[in-house]
Amino acid sequence: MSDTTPTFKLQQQLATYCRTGKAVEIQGTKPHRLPQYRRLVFTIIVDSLQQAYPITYDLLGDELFRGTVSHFFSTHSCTENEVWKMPHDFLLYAYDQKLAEKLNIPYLIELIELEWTEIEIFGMPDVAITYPVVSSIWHDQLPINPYLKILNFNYPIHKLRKKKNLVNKGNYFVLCYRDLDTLKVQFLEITSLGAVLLNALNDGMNLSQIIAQINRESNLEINENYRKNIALFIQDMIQRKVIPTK
Amino acid sequence: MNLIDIGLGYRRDLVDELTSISENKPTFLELVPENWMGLGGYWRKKLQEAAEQYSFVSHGLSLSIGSPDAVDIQFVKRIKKFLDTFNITIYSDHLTFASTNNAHLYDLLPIPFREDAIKHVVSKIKTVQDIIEPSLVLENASYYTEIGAEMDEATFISEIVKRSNCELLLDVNNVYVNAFNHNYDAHNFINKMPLDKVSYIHKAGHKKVSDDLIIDTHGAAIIDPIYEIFDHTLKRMNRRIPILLERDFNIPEMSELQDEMLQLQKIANKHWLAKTSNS
Repeated sequence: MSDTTPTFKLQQQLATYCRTGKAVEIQGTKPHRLPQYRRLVFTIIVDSLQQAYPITYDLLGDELFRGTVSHFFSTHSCTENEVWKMPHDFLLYAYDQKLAEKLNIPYLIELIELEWTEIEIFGMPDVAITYPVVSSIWHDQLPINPYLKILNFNYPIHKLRKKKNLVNKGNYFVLCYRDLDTLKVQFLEITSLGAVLLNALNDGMNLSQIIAQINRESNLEINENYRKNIALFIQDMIQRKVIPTK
Repeated sequence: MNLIDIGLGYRRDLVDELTSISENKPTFLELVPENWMGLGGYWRKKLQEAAEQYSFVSHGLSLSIGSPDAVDIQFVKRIKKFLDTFNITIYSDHLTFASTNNAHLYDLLPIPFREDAIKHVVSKIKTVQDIIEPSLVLENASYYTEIGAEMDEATFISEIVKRSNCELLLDVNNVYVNAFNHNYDAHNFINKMPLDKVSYIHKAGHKKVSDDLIIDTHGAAIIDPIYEIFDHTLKRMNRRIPILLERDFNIPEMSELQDEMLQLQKIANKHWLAKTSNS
């Protein structure tokens, strides 16, 4: 439909009103009924985001959360057809608006990322998983759980239950993965070396190749002590089926 | 009494109960494809469990057939793939718009009852039907205000169905809600509908929020006047069609939903069995 037609204009006016809540005169309507549409639409948006981001909601409180959502919905075009994916648009908005600085909550973006990642991993489309027999963790190619993400944070956002933790700015790696048995999402803090190993395994390298590369290309030297810790880490990952093997 | 051609909305709150009941099971389930397609893990497992026991019909929310925007072809192709995966032969959505300028609102807004809107919607329906293959089924929506209307709702719907050859999902609750909100006669409205093109019927509850306004909430039990309109509708139809009970909020015990489905079955049987014995 041409965007100059009166019909297009009417629809555009109604949609804009629903997004912004700013009063508008729309030809041929019952003006006192229009707020119902704004209320219904905005309720869906707020409820969906509150459900997706419960910790963010608790952190901001109802008034600030609703105000932020209102600004998001009136200024950001949500492009996802599926309402359950719409919270990702809120994450994009948070990046774009530099929401952490704007609201003076340094760890806010990381918190939103963490909550979105849980939704994303929980719902990732299923893929076939093979469980190979591993005879050597050092030389065999180890498979990686396909429902996995490693997040790198400046704040220990995964320990938000104790707010005092959040003053400890640093370099944190959080492994988020779907438990292959319960299908629930698990979070686990890992070391930077653990993150390097899992990422490289995911790229198809085996542990010996990874260690050789680290020794060659970094200041770190993987000595016997490191190798023991790596073996323990890999065993733990196998136990958790982050590395799914028979 | 066994339920025949009576379905229930497949909602996440009901997934476990629906696969564990043994009596008065709905004949089919209606799902919202956008809430399930592309999802793996826990919800996919639950969907597959339900698919082992039930057939599905599909009732979308974001096709936005009335939007000024063009059809989102990639989205419709994803819908098609999902329908094929679960052998779903009915794909319905709403005669509304839910987006403009590629910005989604995630709710159903009324299309202006105007001639250029009819032409635009008919063209979009044909595009969708070329991809989906079975006829697109569109639901008469509830609305709380007209927007620049040039004709009445019944004319608008009938013209779209006639020109596009789509099918109609007749939501009897919406007829009641609109009749109340806009002061028209629900029975007359039903009489004006192309009943030969109705492929299934929705039944639901609603909420009266003021003396002159009812909101279509799907959050309450069906009330008697809606059963009466349903009875009137079936009386005028010459065939059996699926009947769907929608319940999205304040979901009660399964036994209450089953009672409602049994009531729908009782009314349907009155007409369907009479037609069988007359034929």
